Amino acid sequence: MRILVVEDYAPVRTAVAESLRECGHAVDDTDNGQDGVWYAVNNDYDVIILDLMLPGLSGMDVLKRVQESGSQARVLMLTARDAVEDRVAGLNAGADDYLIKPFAMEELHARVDVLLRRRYNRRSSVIEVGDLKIDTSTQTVTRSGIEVPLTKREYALLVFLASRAGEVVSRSEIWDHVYDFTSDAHSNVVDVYIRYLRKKLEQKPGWTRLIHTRRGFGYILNAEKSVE
Amino acid sequence: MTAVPFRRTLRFRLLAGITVTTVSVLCVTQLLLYLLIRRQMVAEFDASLAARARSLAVLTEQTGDVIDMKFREHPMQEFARSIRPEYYQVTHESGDILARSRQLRNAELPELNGCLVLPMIRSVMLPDGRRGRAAGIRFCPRVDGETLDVPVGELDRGDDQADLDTVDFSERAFVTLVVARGTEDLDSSLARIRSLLIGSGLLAAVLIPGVLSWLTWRHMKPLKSLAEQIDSVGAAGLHRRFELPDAPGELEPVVLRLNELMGELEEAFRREKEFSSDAAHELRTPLAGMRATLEFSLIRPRSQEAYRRSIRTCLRIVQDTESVISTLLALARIDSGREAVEPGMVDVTALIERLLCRFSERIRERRLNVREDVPAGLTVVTDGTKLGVVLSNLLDNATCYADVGGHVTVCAKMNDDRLVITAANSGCTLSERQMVRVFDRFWRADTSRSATGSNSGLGLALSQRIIQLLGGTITAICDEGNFVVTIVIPAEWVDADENECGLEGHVSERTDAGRENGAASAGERSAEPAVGACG
Repeated sequence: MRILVVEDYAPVRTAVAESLRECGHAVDDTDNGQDGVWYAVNNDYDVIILDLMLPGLSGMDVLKRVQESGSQARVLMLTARDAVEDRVAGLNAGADDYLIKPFAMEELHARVDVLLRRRYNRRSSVIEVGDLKIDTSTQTVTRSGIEVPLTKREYALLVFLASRAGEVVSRSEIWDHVYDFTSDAHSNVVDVYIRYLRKKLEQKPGWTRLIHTRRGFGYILNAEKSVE
Repeated sequence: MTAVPFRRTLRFRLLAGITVTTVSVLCVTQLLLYLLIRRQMVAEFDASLAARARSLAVLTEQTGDVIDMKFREHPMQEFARSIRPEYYQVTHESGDILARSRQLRNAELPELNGCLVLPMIRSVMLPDGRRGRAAGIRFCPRVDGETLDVPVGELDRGDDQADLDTVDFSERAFVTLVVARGTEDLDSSLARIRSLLIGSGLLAAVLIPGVLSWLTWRHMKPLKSLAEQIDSVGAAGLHRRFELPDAPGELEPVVLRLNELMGELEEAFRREKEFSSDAAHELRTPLAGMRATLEFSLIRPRSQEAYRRSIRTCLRIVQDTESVISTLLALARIDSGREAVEPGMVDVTALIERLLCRFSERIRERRLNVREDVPAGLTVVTDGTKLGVVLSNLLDNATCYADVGGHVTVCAKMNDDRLVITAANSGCTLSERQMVRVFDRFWRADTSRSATGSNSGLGLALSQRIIQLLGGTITAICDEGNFVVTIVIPAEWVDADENECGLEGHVSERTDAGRENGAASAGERSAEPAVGACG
């Protein structure tokens, strides 16, 4: 999933961004409000992790502008101020959640997961499409009870497709949500990864086709058979 | 509001005091008035009785042995009436009663031997049981044809004696005439007056507390309202201001000052809250950085280089945090009065040189033009370590906040017994409102804390406290884009020539002192949050 980290304190920003990347998310990060707004307005992020105190433009201002742009992103606010009024002000301004510094990385990941679920209207950390089961908390994928090992990128692609199971997802959407600015990608990288995924998820005899191609539109993850 | 017993209220005290005083004064006045009236009325009564007695005396004559009382022939109506009559009685000196009013019957009036001028008057019980007054005169009745040539009221003893000398008293008899009259009219008039006074007194005693109670309630209302308003103020309601629309003049300055105090309190609370919040933020942020870095390192096994990178990051965070804490401690030490001033010889010129040298890398990187206007060998007696900390902060700020390619100016000079140092940098964009806050702890023009550790917003606050400790002043202005900080501290100027020519020992001592200062400054690095941390 695509995540933006706007945090001016480098040690926090680096650790948060890196750890989220390691979990397979596509993460962009910036240390100031202006850039934060630019990133948020020009990209379709799923979650924005936003520090409240930023140089240039405060976290509140960033939040306001991001909301004005009509972004669908869920916002997790980071703040070192633990006064009730600070937290309330943040939530009232439209943040979906907040975390007080210092925080446990595990908790941050859990909260990001919750926000991602909320973003795609999921209730559980387990996504099931037919006999395919993705546990986002443990990052494991099984099909008919058999574990399917995936790379980070494959996993990220699958989670995105599964989150929108039953919907046609265009290549550019996949690009927006699975790849960040640091990804060195070429034009057919999405197709390549779809091929890898198909290979792993449809290898065993009896495993039906899950990822269907809608020529000219994109891909759809669906357990039911459909005509290509 | 805690209920105060009514007996302890100002209102009760005023009410009780005024009521008791007023009613007492009223009672005494009424009593005196009554006594005065009674005396006057009794005197008038007595005067009329005395006049009656004298008139009867005049009508008493002696013809030979016979005492002739002419009034008996035409008895006056007052003596004759049967209802509330007046009485008279004439007694011979031998004790025989010569005449008495008919209404007296067999009763006797007491013998009262007054003179014509001053009849003796007494209260008596009249034969018919009434209370009355009797006036008695003892006199020699006029011999037929003799005139009583002593006009009543003008007779004194001398004249009386003279008259008596001319009279042959051998044949003259002395008689005593007593006239009595009931005092019921007088008594009833007095009783009426008495009831009137008592009635009015009682009415006043009831009305005065009532009216006073209402008056005090009405005029104490602003005070009560003020007390209630003050009572309702808590730490959360410091934004409130007291309002007394109908406040009496005496309360106006009180309300005014109270509101001023509330304003000051509110500001102090706000700053206190902001400081705690800032301090918490300042300590939480590096902790968050360290925790995130360490947790990230531990999520999975990593390369040695990755671990080294994490450890270096954490170490830098620890150093920065240590610097913030040291500055906070230095501030706390000064605030609590535990920091002492240790004066020594300070070569200000060398000190500034050394500090500029410390920031030379940043000056080069940011292409700053540094202008130094410091007389050579400017040596003063002051606390070198503390001055070093202040100058380090000022130069650190100046080199950090000057615009790239801008200029930094340092001037030092003696002004009488004061050392004046000015540090200025170009590129100041602070507004007037921001300038007011430059000495606030943790305040930075930019609300972010990206530079946590360095430029933590404590440098100027610490400098201000140190300068105050040294007995000087520090001011900051933004003048046409130049941020100018001026410090003025009382410092004794040491003549450099004298040092160099006369006492070589002093020169080396000064150098040593300089080194010591340098060492101390280095030792106090933690108290210089900004040193070498920017850029």
